[in-house]
Amino acid sequence: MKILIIEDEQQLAESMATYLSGENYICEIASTLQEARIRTELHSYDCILLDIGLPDGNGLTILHDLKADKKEDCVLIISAKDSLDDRVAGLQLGADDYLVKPFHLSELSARISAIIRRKNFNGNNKISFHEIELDTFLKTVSIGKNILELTKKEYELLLYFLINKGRVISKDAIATHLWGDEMDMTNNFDFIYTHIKNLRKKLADAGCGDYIKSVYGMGYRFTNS
Amino acid sequence: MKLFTKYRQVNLIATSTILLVSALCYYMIVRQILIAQLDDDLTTEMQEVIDFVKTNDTLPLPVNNNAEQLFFTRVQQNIAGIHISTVPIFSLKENENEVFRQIEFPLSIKGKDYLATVREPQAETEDLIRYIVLVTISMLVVLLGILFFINRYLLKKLWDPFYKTLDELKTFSLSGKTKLNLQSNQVTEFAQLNEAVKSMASQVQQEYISLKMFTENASHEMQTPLAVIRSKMDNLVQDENLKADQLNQLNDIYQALGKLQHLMQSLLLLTRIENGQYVDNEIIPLDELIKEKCNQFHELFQSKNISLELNVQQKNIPFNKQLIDILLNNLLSNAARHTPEEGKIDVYLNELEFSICNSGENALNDKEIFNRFYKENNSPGMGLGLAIVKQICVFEHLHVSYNFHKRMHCFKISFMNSDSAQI
Repeated sequence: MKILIIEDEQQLAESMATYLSGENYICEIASTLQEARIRTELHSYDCILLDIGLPDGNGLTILHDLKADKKEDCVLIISAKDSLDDRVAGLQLGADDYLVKPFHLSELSARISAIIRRKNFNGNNKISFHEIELDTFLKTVSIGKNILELTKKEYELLLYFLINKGRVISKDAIATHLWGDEMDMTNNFDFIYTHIKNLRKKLADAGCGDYIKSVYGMGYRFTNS
Repeated sequence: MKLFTKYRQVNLIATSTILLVSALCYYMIVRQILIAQLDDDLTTEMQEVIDFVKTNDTLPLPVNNNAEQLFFTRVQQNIAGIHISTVPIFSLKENENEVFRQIEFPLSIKGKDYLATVREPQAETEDLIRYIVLVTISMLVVLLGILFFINRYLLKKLWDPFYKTLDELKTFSLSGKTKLNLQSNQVTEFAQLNEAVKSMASQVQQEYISLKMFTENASHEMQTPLAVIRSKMDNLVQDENLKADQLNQLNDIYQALGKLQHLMQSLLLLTRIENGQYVDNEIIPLDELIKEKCNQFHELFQSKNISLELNVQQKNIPFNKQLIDILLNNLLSNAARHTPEEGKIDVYLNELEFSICNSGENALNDKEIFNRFYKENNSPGMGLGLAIVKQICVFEHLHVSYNFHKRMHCFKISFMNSDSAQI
């Protein structure tokens, strides 16, 4: 899977590339509008991460050009502007999603994964990890032949873990992913623990191994090691 | 006290005093002149009597009428010189004392001494004086009245530009885009005043705008480095060789970062509300939205075993969608955070008001609770949540209040448009 990161902040672009490379994405970086234009004209990407505020112009023009050329690259806008107008303008131009800076890389990864899954609608909707099989179309989880009865939050939590498997995910990232940014919980993540506990129990009851590892009060890692 | 009133007071006191003093002086002077005139007449009369005596060597006939009295008294020892004086004489006719001016002088006829007295009534003089003074006073009163009215209308007209400027200033708003509309004036003082006010207002407005721009830009620009830090952190914690101690420190950085980000977003939000960037109101079914939000917070409440009592009636309200979201989020987050374990939260909505109450121990400072960065002891928040609530209510012309009743903290938003909601 090829991803183009259009971002003028070099440090941020590199971080994103580092994290996403671990997920088997091949990342290219463009830091100006001109560079980005050359790349998008020459190649096609599974997903383009687009920063709006670029030094030589508004990133939305790239989006405009892509749509005018009837290219099918998915576009995820990443912007420091979180005003509703920008969001609406971006989505109206045909962007697939909108992420406000600063964000967690695990969240970025989940969004990209969701966009690509939506696009490859006819492709594989199944994400599997050892005995766990998750169907993103039917929204079901099965362990072998057992179908798990998960709540909406537990399903989302498991999906988040599977997409970021092997990675440490901070509690803050989990809270933001499940409840959105607006719930101001100010580092009170006790209630996340309840969900983790329930999910763990349901997985164990279905005969699944315990893959959710706690990382020293920092967060969790979904891994078999 | 109005300027006119003050001026009129001073004016009235000053003119009345001058009027009284001048009337008194006038009275004295006229009286003096008339008495001198009377004395002249008496002296002429005396001269005539003396001349008569010299010529005829006998006393003239005494006279006694309304205008004049002349009589002679035989005396042993005559007085020396001439005496002029004012004497009250009892008059049978009028049955009261009448004032006369008299002149006494010695006469000597054939070796006999006489005291001659000539009297003329002073009453006529007094009457004359009275009339003159009366006319004078009435003239002055009329003059004063005319002056008063001229002052009144002239002053009003003169000060008119001042009041126009004042009215214009009253409607002036710092955040408003409108400039002061001050008319040019031919009177130098007012022209200067208008100039000074205009330049001050535009300077203040400019500074205010640049301050707001600064807040917005600063918060905005800080998002990028924050994003860099966060992404670097996200990558850093992936290192499997990190020790527990290092992970703990990284976790502290994460938490501080989260706070910082939240702070930036809150400040940005406050600035945007103040700038009036949220203008599109739509009809919000508040009851449904509240139920939805409570549902979202359900897990958070449950984790602390908080019981929620929801009592909402159907209510539609014109509101900005984003702002009402933020408002409810902040109030519910606030309640969730400060309600003790096993506590309770009451959410109440009817046609007139919306209130959200949560159990607690002690009343909070209701004067400061909505201030920015105000925090009760041990509050884990930033002290901006309620400031944002207040700002949103002010923006939407609603009144928000806090009270503590029966061990419940209550935040109430009244839907009646309230002027007291203005700051």
